[in-house]
Amino acid sequence: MTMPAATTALTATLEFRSRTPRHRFGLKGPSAAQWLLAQGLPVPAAPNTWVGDDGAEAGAERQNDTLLVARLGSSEFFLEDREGGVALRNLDPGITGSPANYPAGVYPVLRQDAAFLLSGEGSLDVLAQVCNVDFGALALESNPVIMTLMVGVAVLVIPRVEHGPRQFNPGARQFKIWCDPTFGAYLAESVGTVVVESGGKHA
Amino acid sequence: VIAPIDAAGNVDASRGQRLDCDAILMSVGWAAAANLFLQAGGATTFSTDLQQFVPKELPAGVFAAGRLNGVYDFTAKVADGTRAGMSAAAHVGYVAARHGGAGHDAAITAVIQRATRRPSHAFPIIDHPKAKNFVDFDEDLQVKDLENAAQEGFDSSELMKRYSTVGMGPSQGKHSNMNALRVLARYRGVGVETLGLTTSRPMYHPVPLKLLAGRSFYAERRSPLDAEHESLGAVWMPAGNWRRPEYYAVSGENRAQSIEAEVSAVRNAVGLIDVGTLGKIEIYGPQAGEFLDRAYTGRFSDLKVGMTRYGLMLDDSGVVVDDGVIARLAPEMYYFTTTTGGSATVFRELLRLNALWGLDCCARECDRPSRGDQFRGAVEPGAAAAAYRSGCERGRAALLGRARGTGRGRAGAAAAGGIRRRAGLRNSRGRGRCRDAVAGAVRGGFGAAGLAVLWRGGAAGAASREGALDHRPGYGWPHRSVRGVGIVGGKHAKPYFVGQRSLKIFKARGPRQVLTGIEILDATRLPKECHLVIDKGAIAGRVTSVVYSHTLGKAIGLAMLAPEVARGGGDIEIRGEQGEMLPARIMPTPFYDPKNARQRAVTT
Repeated sequence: MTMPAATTALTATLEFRSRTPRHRFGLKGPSAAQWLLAQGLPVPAAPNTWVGDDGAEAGAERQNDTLLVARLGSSEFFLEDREGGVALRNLDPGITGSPANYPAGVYPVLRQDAAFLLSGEGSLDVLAQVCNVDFGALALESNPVIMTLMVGVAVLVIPRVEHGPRQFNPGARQFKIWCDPTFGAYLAESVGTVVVESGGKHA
Repeated sequence: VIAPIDAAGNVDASRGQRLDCDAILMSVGWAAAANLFLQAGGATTFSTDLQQFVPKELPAGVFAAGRLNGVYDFTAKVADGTRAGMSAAAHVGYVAARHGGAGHDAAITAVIQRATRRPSHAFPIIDHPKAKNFVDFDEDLQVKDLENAAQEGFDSSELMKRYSTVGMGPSQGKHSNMNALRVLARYRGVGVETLGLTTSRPMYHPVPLKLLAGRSFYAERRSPLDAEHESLGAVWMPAGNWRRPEYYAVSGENRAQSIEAEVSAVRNAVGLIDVGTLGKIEIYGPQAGEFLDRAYTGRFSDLKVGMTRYGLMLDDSGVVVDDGVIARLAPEMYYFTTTTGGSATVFRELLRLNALWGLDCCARECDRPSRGDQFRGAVEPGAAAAAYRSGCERGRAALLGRARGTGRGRAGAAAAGGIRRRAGLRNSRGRGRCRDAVAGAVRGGFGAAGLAVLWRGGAAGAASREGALDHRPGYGWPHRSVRGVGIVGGKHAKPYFVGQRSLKIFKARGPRQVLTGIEILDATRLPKECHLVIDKGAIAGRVTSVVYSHTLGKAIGLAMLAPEVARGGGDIEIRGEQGEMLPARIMPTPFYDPKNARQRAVTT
């Protein structure tokens, strides 16, 4: 018997896991947005939102793993490539070289965050136990970026809906979480414990 | 085991049941939230029937409702709320249209339907012959503590509160005040009504249940070398929100012996300490130098590329809030460290200052494992520093302390008393190199580092804990490398830096206390931090740190002393824990190698 999609979503396994390393970096400065546009990258129009760029590999199967550009403020950005992606590595080398070669008004920011993914039924209940933000009230179509505290640690969170036939839980929410790597082990243990106590899996 | 008790507190053990449980919740009876009512000038009286205080007099314009009135039934509470609301509306001249006329009057004059069954036990504390009878969980107070207070003469509600601190914990007496009154009334053999409530002061707010039921977390940062420390037997201690090795446990040694062994290694061979926990920040842009000139006391706009300089950060009141070493890596780029505990605060403050000043520069944190691995090596003359070299010299390390020790990077060296190099390994091979280096050297924990700082007369113990360096520069601030801090006048004066105005005021006024070295003459009886220093029968200051130094063979410490006492030198006394007077002597600092001969022998 084939279960309807809604039921499938509700029975998906709650899971919290570390995400595989990807190329990441940040940008600051009054000319950061213009520099991104000059590189052919999308720029979110409003602070605290994100956009994805599927590039040549666009397609339903890639929709959960796009090159991501998050706008953290009026002149600050966070970028993460897709798994195995090389787009960020191939950007203008001036931005990753000597400070003397930085474009005017553009300052790169080293980002080596610990990255996690929380997904499955019960994700919102887990988040309610570790964070003050009500993620269930967010309108995901506006691509929100949340900067808040989780288990006492400053985190960047992007909630989104799973898409595509390769995703085991289409239609359900998943939460990408980044934090300072020195807090990574603590955050993984703390949130992972709550996930396991909630019947989920900490991979 | 859970068993019923009767009204007199007798347990019926025959009906006991054994239940597996993780926690026990205990009801302590009801106590109405009367705080706002009392703060508005309301008076209460104790109702024996209800076993709670209820309003006796209502100030003009104040209307009480609900459990404060002794109303517990839901329907009755709705009616009581309606009555109070109608009364308040009428008081300010409104008459609700829907409740006009007789209905309105009836609502206002409705009789308060108090509970007919006593909602709280008259004495909900049942003595347990083999256990403690806690009354205040916030303050760890038992029945006997309150009875002792009364026995000592603190036998009114106000006096008992001040003596025992009952009700002064986080819950502000919400679960304990009423029962403390019952205990006091029983001890004195009087009714609760004769005692009265303690004064209720703002702020008052209820405790959300979610705070009691929710999880509690303590964020903890771990060094990129955490696993290496663990494998080396690290005994952990919190430093800011980092976990750092206090020392490395060795079989057959206790804590003090292990720390002393690490100290000895630093003195006579080589030691390494992981300072990857220090904050690491880069600031760059055309006005980066000017920004640092404003944010720190020293001058950095004239720092040559490739050189370092010690930096001291003050707040607006002139108090030292952080320090570190600032390196100029390129004409428009600086890299600097902050204290472990202060890294997040300093970075946030720098961002705030930059937003305020609007200079063309940008700060970014570099607190990342593959780029920020750092360690300090304290190397003595003649010691083969293979470990150090493997970590620093062979690699493409950016040394914050220059290899030839020009003195500009001496902030670290001065603190350790040895030849200190601080290396910031700016590549992903740092972790491996550091691991190799650690394997070839004696590790140094935070405990040994604190001792080394004290040897040099640096701020240690209470004076440096958690990055709170509560001293004003120039007032006995011990680091010689703080030259340049006092740029508050003369030809080198800067137009502005944070705290400059306060320093000028302090300079004109003169110091009230100075950090001074002391020796405890009887090393078998050591005072503790914060014990008072007595000079000629008067309080002259307080001890900030004290330790027995095996290297020096004497007990040394630091104290904040009145300038005239510090200048006079000679003998002083310290009042110990039991009031005994401990003899001590004012000593010059640094205690160890005061002429810096060992450093000079290597660098020349």
